[in-house]
Amino acid sequence: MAHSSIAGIRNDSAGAASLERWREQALAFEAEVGRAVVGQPHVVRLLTIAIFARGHVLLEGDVGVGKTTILRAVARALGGPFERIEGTVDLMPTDMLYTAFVDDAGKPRVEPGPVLHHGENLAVFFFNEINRARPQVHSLLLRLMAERSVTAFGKEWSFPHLQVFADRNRVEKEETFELPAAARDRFLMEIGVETPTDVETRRELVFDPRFHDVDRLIGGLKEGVLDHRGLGEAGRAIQETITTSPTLETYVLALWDAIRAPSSVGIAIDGVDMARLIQGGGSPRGVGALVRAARVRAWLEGRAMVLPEDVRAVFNPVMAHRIFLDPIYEVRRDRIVASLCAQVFERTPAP
Amino acid sequence: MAAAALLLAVPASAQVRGAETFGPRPFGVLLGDVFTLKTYVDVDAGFRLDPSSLPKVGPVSYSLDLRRIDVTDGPAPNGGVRYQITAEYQTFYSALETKEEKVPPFTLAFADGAGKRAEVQAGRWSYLTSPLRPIASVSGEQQYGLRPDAAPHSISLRRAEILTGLAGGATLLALALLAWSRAWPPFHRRPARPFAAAARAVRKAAGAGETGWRAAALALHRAFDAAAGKRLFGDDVAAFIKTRPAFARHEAAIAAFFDASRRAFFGEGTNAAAALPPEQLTRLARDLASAERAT
Repeated sequence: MAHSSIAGIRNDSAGAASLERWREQALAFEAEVGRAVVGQPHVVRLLTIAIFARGHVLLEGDVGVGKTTILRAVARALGGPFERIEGTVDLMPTDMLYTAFVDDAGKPRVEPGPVLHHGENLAVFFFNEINRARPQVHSLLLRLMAERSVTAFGKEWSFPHLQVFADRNRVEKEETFELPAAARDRFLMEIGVETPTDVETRRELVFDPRFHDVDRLIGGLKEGVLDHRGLGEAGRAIQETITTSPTLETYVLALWDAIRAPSSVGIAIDGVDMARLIQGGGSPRGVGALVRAARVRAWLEGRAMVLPEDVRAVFNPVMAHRIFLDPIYEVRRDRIVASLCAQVFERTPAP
Repeated sequence: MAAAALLLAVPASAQVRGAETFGPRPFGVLLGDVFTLKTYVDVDAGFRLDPSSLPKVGPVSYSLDLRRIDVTDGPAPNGGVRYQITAEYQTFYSALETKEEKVPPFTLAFADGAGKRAEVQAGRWSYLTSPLRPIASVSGEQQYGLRPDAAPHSISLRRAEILTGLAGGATLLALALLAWSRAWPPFHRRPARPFAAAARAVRKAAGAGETGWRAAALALHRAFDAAAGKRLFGDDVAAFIKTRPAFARHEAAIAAFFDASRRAFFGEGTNAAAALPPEQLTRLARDLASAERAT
């Protein structure tokens, strides 16, 4: 509502026109991905936010809901060098960096592996089934995500444009390795992908032959709708241009307090001892990521200021996986965290 | 009645069976006393009293007046008729000492259809009159002295009191209902009427400059929160109005309010009151409170 009346990015900065162009490109990007991914506009919007917030994304969902398709579509529309790897139990960190094989002359050779294959221009690194990989691999990934650099062949490799997408299915628990808290905290968002509920969308997904051949579906998308080399600059401009008022800052801090001490604001969840529920979480990095994502969302909506609606729209994907519960409540995590986040927004007044 | 029966006359003939006169106690009669004599006369069938033979009302003697005379008839034994003649006398005899006085008899005439007549004397009575004497005062005796006025008889007001109480109770109940309906104190914090309380707060605060405007907007926000049962943001307004159609008439004004509130609280400190003047804010709060009453 009423976006148009308060629309308009600030005109006083020289980058305003270019930000407006970036916004058009972002919307075109969403539309392009939406051609291949139907029934998930929410997920596509969050991915777009993550791209402009320069954050890594973990997709989670049942088997076959289209996690991989979404990430492939995003990677294609984003353009730039793209690499993917499948998580397996026997995958070792070195397998990500080096490819060892025997060449035509029968000599063993070591070449750059998936991460290094495209050099430092790598734009998207897609880690499929991340929870099947071992903690050693997680640890390397952690560095790749946090510092956007690795050490290989005796030198430092830096990936300024890199964005890591990962997915994991939540069905299987055997032969999987839960991501350590530090690794999870480094994902900007953890997006849950659900089966579309809309009947028409379901019918289309099941009966339209277009969706049966994923390679052709993805191949039909326009490549490089966004210029991945400019994303870092655009992201910085967005963070500098979109304002947060003192009221909003107070609001976000109140949300943070409510997450850390739910019982202090009267949050109660059925069958949960609120005093011992929260073990940790809501790190400063997490709340910073929340504000970053909220700014991008406001910009995508065509606003120059962040509203509580923006915070709410990105809160669950950004914050839910950073809340660490007492182990006895981990089993019921989905329900408890969803209820906690919902109640935090019900209790915290805005403005 | 202390009756004295006097057989005044034997029947003049067989047609008149008897005449008896009864009076009150025949002594202690004072000047001005009224006494009634009742005379019963039985006559044979066919005979009727001649009314003209009755004595006339008026002075009977110089000290005795006949004030009234009534005649009734009824059945007598042997198929005859019993006449009851009630005569009321008043004596004006001022006796100097106790003395016997007499009421003179009167003659009653009876006739049958065939011209036969019979007469009988009746109504004779005598009594003792007493003089009026002043009361000899007895020293120390108080009972004849002036007594205090009798306390006035108080009429019971119980019914009026009950009715007044009921009316008062009904008035209080009606007032309480009105206060509840209008969310006046002590019902002003009723959760079901958040906008009524907000309207009061807005009216008080809205005009008081930028700070007042913000306080008023916050009060209205809290009312929206309470009405929606959660924190209501600008993006939720359309969904909220769908669940509360009573507010649909004010949708544009509500949207304008949220728009102005966004500028004020989340924008770059622009003058909020310019976007939504205090009068409009007050009017919106009042409209919402009235729409809320309609639900």
